[in-house]
Amino acid sequence: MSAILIGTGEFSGAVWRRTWHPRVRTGSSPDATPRKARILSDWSSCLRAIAQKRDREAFVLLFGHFAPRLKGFFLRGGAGNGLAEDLAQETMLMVWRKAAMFDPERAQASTWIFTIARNLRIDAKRRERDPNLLAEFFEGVAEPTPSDQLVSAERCEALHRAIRELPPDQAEAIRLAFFEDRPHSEIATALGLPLGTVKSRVRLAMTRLRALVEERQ
Amino acid sequence: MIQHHPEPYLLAAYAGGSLPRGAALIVACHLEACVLCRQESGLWNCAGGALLEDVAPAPMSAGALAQMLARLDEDEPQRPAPPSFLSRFGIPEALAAQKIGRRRFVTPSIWFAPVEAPGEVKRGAARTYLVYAKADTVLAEHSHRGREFTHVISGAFSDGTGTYRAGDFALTDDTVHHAPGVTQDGECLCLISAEAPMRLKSFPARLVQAVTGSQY
Repeated sequence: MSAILIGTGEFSGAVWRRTWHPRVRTGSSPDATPRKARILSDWSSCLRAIAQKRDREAFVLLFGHFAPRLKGFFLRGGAGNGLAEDLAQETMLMVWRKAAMFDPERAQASTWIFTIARNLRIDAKRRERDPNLLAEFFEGVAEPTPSDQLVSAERCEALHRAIRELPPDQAEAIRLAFFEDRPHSEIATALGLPLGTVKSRVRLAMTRLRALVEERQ
Repeated sequence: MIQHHPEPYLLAAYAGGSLPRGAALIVACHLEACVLCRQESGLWNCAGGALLEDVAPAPMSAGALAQMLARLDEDEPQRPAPPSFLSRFGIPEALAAQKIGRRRFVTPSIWFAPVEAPGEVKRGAARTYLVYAKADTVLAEHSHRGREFTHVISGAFSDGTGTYRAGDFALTDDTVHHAPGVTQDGECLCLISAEAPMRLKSFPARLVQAVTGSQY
């Protein structure tokens, strides 16, 4: 099964719910929640199964879904193909090791995995500057810290929906804010926009997201 | 009560992994202390989760899964224990996960300790370190070639721009010349990350720098 899942890169949540987690399909009212939400909560179940039972099958499922996305994220952040693949692997290894730290009540699986990837990205940039640091590359820094899990999974899902509804220029500003640490100079230059415009777009997007999240609660 | 916070664009850059490692560590320490910024950064983390779900998936190479499964039983690297000279301070979790080097006294009342791998400390490179000063101490007047990020772990210091207490975040750049002083009521321990070594202003201070070999 795993070969099929990995080979396709993207697979339907329904395929594995039937084989691995029948409870979801036969639950009292499985159709009451949107399909996306059910899939996301199933990623949480995978993490729980890894934490409690060292469940390799659950890990394979997570890997099939997240590894190609993680690689895509690192590529988007400027890593080369080889490094992006290594970092995706390192993120998934950390997911396996730290699954017990994941609290489904307090965070969404994709957000939690993202914070690990983000920490690895920070360290990868250090390695780029100094290749001699290879040996101690992955030590310590990528551990999720308590400060990374505060927004509830429910609120986070509302935010995900809100982001998908942002106007394109605000969505792009959010994406750029993620990948540049100096909106004051480089983003403005890259976009050929005045500095104030860039800053206000990010601020506007965040205000909008906050409002949308609160509206839906 | 925390008075000084990182600007929103820094929280966004932190959430996306775009900050240099030392600066990211400073922001992570601030987040542990500051519930307001933690909420803001939580939103950005969620945005990151959405980004991860929506990013174009890049297929992994053919043997990736097999390689991955073979690594699951590898031993986990152990986190180093923080050095004993920090045991009387409550240090943030994010800092406790780092390698902290030996402290060096530059005067009887001031010491520095590097927070990075030994190979990383070299002249001209970005650096992250702890600095401790006793009550009523003033650091030599200096300026910075790049940005300098500070998190106050314990105590307080003041410079021309304000007073910074435990949990506060400070960012200075090459426009700031300052001689930070520790307030009278107690000692001060800070975590600092600078993009380039500081420039000391006075001749005696430069001499101390030369004699101690201090690159801070």
